[in-house]
Amino acid sequence: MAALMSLEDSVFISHSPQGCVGCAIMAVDMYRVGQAHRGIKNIKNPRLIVTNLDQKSVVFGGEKKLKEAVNKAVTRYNPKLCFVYASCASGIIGDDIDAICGELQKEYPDTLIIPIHCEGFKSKICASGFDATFIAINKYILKNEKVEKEEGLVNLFAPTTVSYADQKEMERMLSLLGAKANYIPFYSSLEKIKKIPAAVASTSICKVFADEFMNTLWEDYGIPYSHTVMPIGIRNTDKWYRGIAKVLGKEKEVEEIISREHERIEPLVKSIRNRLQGKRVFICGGTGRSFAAAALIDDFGMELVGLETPTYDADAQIDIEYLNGIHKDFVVDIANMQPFEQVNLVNRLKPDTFIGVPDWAAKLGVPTTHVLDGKRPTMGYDGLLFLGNKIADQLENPGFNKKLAKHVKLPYKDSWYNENPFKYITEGGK
Amino acid sequence: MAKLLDKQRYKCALGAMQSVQAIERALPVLHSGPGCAQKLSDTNGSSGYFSPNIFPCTSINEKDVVFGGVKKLHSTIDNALKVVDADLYVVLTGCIPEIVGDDTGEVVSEFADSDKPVIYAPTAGFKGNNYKGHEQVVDAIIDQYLKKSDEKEKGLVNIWADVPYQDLFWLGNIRELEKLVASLGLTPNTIFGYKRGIKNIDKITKAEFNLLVSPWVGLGSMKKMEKKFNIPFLHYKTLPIGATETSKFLREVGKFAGVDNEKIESVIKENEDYYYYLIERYADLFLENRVINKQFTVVADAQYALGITKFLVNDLGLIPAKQFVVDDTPSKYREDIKKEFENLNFNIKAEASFETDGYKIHEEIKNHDYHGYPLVLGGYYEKEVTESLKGNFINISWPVQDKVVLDSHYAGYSGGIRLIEDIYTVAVQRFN
Repeated sequence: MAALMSLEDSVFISHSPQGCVGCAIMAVDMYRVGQAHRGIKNIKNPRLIVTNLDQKSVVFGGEKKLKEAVNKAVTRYNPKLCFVYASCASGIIGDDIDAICGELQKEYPDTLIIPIHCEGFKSKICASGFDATFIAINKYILKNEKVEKEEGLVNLFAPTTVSYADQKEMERMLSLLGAKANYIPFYSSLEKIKKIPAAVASTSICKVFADEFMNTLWEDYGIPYSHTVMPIGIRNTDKWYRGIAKVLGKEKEVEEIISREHERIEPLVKSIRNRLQGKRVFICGGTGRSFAAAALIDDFGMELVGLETPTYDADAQIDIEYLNGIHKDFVVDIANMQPFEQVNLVNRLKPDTFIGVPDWAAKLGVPTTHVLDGKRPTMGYDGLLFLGNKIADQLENPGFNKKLAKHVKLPYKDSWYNENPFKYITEGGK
Repeated sequence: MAKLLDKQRYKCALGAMQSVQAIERALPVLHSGPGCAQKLSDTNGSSGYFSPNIFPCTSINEKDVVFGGVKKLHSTIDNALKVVDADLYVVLTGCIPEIVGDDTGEVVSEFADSDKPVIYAPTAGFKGNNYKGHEQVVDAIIDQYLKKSDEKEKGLVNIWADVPYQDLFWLGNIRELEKLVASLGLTPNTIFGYKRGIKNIDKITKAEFNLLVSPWVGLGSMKKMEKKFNIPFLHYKTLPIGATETSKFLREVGKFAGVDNEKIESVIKENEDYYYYLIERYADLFLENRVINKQFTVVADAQYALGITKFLVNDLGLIPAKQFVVDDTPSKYREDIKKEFENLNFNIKAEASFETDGYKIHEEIKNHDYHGYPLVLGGYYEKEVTESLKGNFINISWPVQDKVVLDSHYAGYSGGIRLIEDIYTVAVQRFN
């Protein structure tokens, strides 16, 4: 849902009970903020409809409700796109949303009706949902149709959490290589999605966003792609930049730009380094950002002591091996938050600062800050300066967290802090 | 139950995890899919002692859908008892276990002898919204935890109001209702918020009566307690906001509790005097037509739609356009609530529409002649439509984005003053 919510001229139908869109306000806020940043005057809400599966639907199926919802979506909003999301409930009761959407498509030829298989029990991580989204886009919009190539056009895939400031920085960097970004899917449109096959290359801002899709685009359309890292910090920004430059055949140009950028920012990074040198850091974040943050802190001479990240695969191992080369001794916790593991670790490691989801470390009195910021810059050469200063400011006044820790207590029993933090990990996830 | 929801105004029954969260040191233990708690948590003051990310969850996967999740549930409860320091563990079920038929009650009963109480409430999303889920949680406490008490505490009154977190002002409101009841010389007892918790839950059955301040939410639980524990209840339908309604409230509660009339009137006089001292200081602003138009619409649950309508009509002298009740009020309560909307001063009647379809609501707002710029008090969705009409918008009902509320309230005399402050803070920033 989050991946598509800002698409122009769309209606989103959640084929689910009423709670599955309980987070509507997040979507509404994100969409509105994004519009405001992009200078849109009459700011709109996303159009979100819930079929409201109830007890009757659980017994007799929800087909009727879905048909009614699509009917309402079309008569009310006449959208170009109508996305239908599966849910745990619709999946278990066996509603065939593909077939239902297929039938409805004949009835409403002017609206593209696209089912998306994102049943919650299928995966514990939202990245799987992004994959499902791109599978649907490929199957229902691109449909293997050949389109005319557009010179210099690069698909730039970005997850929802990327701010407009970061979008502009990525677009600026690509334009220095003579490329034009087709920014997908945030604040894009059916037209822009249809242009995906016209691109000469693809890249992504996040390691786990559109990674499979870019491979599909290579297989189906022969579009080469660069899959590297999230461009946060000098090393990752360079790596990301060189990755896409190589695909575009601009290896020489990119080196010139990189050395120019380094020259520009190095004195500024140095002043940040003076404030942060030697500080010990614990990081908790999404897959892309947590690894990126771990590389970023090296720019400032900081030392990694712990890294909590939700997923692990061969790709993550590449990052871990890189980090092994720059940070001497750190714990890796593969966990989707699991605050009880985290507070046990943070309490043991006693870092000087914590980067990432801050709620629990703050209650231990550790200064905390974010590298995820949907409203401000975090990426590219300028983004890292912003982040560095933010981290330093936070460290210099840890007052809020210290006071908080003095007055509140985390809800875990004292005995827990003496246990092995990984005690409850069972073999094979039993 | 409502049909499709375009711009939905509530969550599902599992949203009752927030009702549990509002009970100090009560921990929701979720038997649900991996995304449920994420989707059902807001950022409106929910990072307390237990934040939603701390709630233990079975995080059901495809395998559990096929083979059932009872084993996982058992170990999740078992380990939560070992690691998390809580007073009450409330197991809540999502859609999946109730569709595949996990016997959650059976698993929970295996913890009957644990050091801390473990109870459970069926809160599958497809069975109802979080207003219903809230009632399920209170019912679970009544049925599985409370014991009948022959001993009564004189003057002790249990106060119940609307749904924590769904109601942005829940904490401030319930504290204000406590203060009002205490001002009559009674002893209020509530279970939600700071320093209430299990110790107050234990006092519930000692109360002389239950006071329900809500158009309908929680009425079932009151009846249950009347039958099971012989506790009578007073159902006061209107959340009292401002002087007129709060004075009415004090008179009715006082009368029900047998409080001396003189005492009631002296409390009312003292409060009204101060209230009108404040109003008088700003009367020039309220009397100035230029600042605000006369017609308003509330888009909210029954509680605020009714409470705010009465306040704006009876205290501020505004005129109600159509009011929208968006909480999917069960049809058996609707006639009674409609009558309340028609019972306003100077024979004014407000038309109330029970509507969960946001599209229709917005169409009606757009098509109504407010004789100028409308005043709309509603959920965040109404910001768009109000802006398009150049009206004044105040975000008072879920979903909320425009407001940060720590312990502010709209209930009572002081609550009316807060609402006036909020409305006019918006109005004076405008150039129209």
